[in-house]
Amino acid sequence: MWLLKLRWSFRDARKHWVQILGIAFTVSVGVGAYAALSSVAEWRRTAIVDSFELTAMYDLRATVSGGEDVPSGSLAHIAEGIDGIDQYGERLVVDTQVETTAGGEELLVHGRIVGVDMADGGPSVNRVEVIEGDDLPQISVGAPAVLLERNFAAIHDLPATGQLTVGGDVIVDYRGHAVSPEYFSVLEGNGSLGRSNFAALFTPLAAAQEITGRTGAVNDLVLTLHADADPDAVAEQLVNAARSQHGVLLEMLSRDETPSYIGLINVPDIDQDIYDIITLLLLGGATIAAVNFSARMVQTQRREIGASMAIGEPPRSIAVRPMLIGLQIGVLGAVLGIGVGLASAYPTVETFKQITALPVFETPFNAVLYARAAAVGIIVPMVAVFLPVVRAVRVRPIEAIRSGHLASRGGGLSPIISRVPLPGRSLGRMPFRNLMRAPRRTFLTLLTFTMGFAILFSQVGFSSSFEGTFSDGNQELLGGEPDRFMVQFDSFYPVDSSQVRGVLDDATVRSGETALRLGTSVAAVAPDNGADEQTRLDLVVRFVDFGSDVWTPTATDGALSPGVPGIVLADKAARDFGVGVGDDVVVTHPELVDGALAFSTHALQVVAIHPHPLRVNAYMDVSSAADWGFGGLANMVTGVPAEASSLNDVKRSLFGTGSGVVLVQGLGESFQSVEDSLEQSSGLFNVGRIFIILLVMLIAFNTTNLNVDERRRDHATIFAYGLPVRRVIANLSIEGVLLGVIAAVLGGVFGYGLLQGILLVLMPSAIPDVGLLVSVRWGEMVAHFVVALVAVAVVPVFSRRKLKNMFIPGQLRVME
Amino acid sequence: MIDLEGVTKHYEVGPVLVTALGGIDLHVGAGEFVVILGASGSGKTTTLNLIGALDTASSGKITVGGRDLSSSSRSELFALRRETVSFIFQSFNLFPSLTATENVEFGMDVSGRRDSADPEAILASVGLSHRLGHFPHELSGGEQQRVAIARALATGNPVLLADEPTGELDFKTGSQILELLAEQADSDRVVLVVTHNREISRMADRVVEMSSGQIVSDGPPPGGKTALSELRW
Repeated sequence: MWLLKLRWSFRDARKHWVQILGIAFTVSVGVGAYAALSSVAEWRRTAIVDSFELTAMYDLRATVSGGEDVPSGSLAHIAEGIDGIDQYGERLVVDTQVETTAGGEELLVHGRIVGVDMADGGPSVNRVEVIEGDDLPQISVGAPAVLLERNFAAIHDLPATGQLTVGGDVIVDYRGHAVSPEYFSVLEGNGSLGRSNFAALFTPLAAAQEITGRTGAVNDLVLTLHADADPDAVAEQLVNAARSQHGVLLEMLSRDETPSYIGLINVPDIDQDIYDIITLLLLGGATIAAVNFSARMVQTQRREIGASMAIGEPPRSIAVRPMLIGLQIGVLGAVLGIGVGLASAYPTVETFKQITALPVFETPFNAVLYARAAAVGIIVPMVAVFLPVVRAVRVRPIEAIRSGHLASRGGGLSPIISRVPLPGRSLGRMPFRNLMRAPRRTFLTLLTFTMGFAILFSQVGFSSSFEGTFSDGNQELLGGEPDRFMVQFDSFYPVDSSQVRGVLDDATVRSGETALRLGTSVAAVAPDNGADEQTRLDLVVRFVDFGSDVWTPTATDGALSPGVPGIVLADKAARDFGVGVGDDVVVTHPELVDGALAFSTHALQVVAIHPHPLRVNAYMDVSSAADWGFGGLANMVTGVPAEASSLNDVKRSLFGTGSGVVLVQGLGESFQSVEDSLEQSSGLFNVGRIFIILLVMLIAFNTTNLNVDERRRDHATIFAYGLPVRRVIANLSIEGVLLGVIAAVLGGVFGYGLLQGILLVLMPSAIPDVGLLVSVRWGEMVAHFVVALVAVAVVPVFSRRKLKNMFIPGQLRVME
Repeated sequence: MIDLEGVTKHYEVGPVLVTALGGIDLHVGAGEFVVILGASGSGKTTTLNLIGALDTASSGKITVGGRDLSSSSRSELFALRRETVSFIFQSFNLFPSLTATENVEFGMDVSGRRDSADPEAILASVGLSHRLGHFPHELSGGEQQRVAIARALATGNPVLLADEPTGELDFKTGSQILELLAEQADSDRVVLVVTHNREISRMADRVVEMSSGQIVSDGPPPGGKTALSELRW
């Protein structure tokens, strides 16, 4: 009996192979997405942790502050005398400008020369892993040369070797690409410098000293600790020793405080939340589609099931055959799902390799996960078949075997809809009526389409929101001047000092304004945001002239009043604090007292809210600087290039001239960096979009295929009345598009909610410093939806051959 | 109106060549009510399908309404079905998603007569003026077949091809359907009815009896044309 059923079910499968393959493919999209996307966080985290281990990232980093340096060996000497330190290495780390050409265009960006101790063959902490080209020992020989940081090289598609100009006029060869843990993810300059506008250069210490002209000097120490060491105690000993032995202040940074480390370690889990939502929706959509289509396949066996019941076969035995078909679909779906998963994992991995330069990137085949995905793939169609089979064996045999007009089923919602006047002629009304005729089926198909469109909306909206948020922020900073730039000094200078005047009066500079930037720690006076503990954030307060006609921040709430004390917070910061205009915040800030820096705490009123998405940005009127002891001082200048000058002219002119300028950066560059990263991440979004379009197309294909089978008599009658195949295909297309349009509208609504959930609930955990705005580029969104709808509309064309080859008389005499 | 000369039709069933029609000749003129009678497998439905251009002959010549089907292209055959022949099926084949009126409108739409005919009047002519907005599943078998006839009439085509039109109906309903078909022949249409029911053939102008793919007799019903009221089955 079982063998007979097995043979029979195989024959069924052969007869309906197109439907079975179609449903199996639908299942495979869900299974593939599950298998490919569920493990992303796991292998990303493994790659990140392994990479940090391989390169022995520091536990602590000590940097001599104020741009000073100490003789080579002095920091190592301090480290030798402190318990708890495992490995250490001295470095000379000097910010610079890096100039080269990429694709025929000149590239002038901020950079950093990292000179590493080559004793014992290379650095033991923060190792430099060569991806391409010579290694450090090789470039130690001969003229000074460097290795170019891989992220920067990759995003600008730079060759493995070439030439750079650093510090304005020093030409060096770069002889390869390398990575080092501080720059696995590039996040410098409070987030304004990223992979596209920051170039780290690795070189032996001696070469760094020669290139920068700081012979025999070091200014940085990286170290790893023993497992039982107390980092705070080690840091304190280092600081004290440096002060007492060399009279310098060391700034300490732990690994866990390093922005690039935090970003890399935390992001995979947050990203995974997003993938999980997408996976869930895709798998859900595929499941519902499989249930829907399988039920329709079982429905076609209605009469055979009735005949079996009529001859007394027990329902359990009757159920075996359709269940075996479900099993076949499941096995096929699982096998195809593994293929789909592998095919989609490839671009996902490649994209991550591109956007994060890690030395270890292994993505072993995760057999357990794939087994779990395969199990889901097999169970889903079995369940999908089980329910309609139970329904089918419950009807009275006479109902199942009844043929002719007595077997005709109810018209669903058609009787209600028949009262709705529809445009067009009889044939034109059919698609709409057909949808109404089987409301449950239509609802399930609509649901699966809607899920697809919802994911599509959230995917497209995600990237546009990111870009929109940063674009708006960029416009806010630029104030209508695309080349607006900022110049940062290495210290505070009087506004009429030669350093500041040198910048303001430079021939390449127009509309220069001095500003003062100070790091602060800000908290709300009382926790008004529902949190148990007071929110405390590190903000950068910039003192600008609120009366300036060159540039001021925009006040979206409150007002900017020159001479009035108070703070202007970013909208995101105000929301996180739970404060608004008129509320007070407590600001702990540096204060200059008798020429010495101290820290004070004052309450300040929030006078306005500005729209920049980075919550770190806060503003005060320049007149308030005197209250903190910084009156008449500046540590930065903003301006725009003079008429005949470019931004690069300004950079070349101002940097490295001994005027105290440590950074010249176009304010639009940070946006460019974000945009470049988004562009590189597009592979990830594309994988998602391909999945969705594929799922929508498969659903449309299966729907059409089953419709063609179920309505073969209708179609035969249409042909008998002399209408061509293209009219039937047109009707099938219209039916699909009708569903698609409704699903697009519903999917848009749900997708908007999903997008809000991702951006406003999930992303704040991943990137709390950014106030993401939900920004939908409707043109782009409509274009994506139109592509999906066109796909749905085109799918019936694949049924043309089947319709054209239909033996019309045979179908006309079929009695259902 | 309809001419068949030496028409054969063979089917390949696996390795076996089955002859459905073994070379038949038939001429049917306008206004004739012809019944093709025969047992299952005699070739009567195949003949109807060939006349209606639903299938193509293996050899021979078929002319319908002056159009030679043997040399017509696929699109010309579609055009013939739109303009010349109309079908009435045993199992009605109404469009389940369209109302009775809309099913009739379909017939008008395909033949381009939307503006020159009134679907409600046509339905009234088959006695269904009270069922205009009903869907097929809301109608009885007889009513569904009357809608199917109305749909065929709505095309205005000169040839009506009916395949076992009473096969699914009881006697009373079936005779009403036959009466309707007979009326169409009176209005100068060709009505070709295929049936295995010998009793029905008694009301035809002419009976073509088939057996094993051959026409075995062709002429008026034995005993002459009988009134509908005298038929029993």
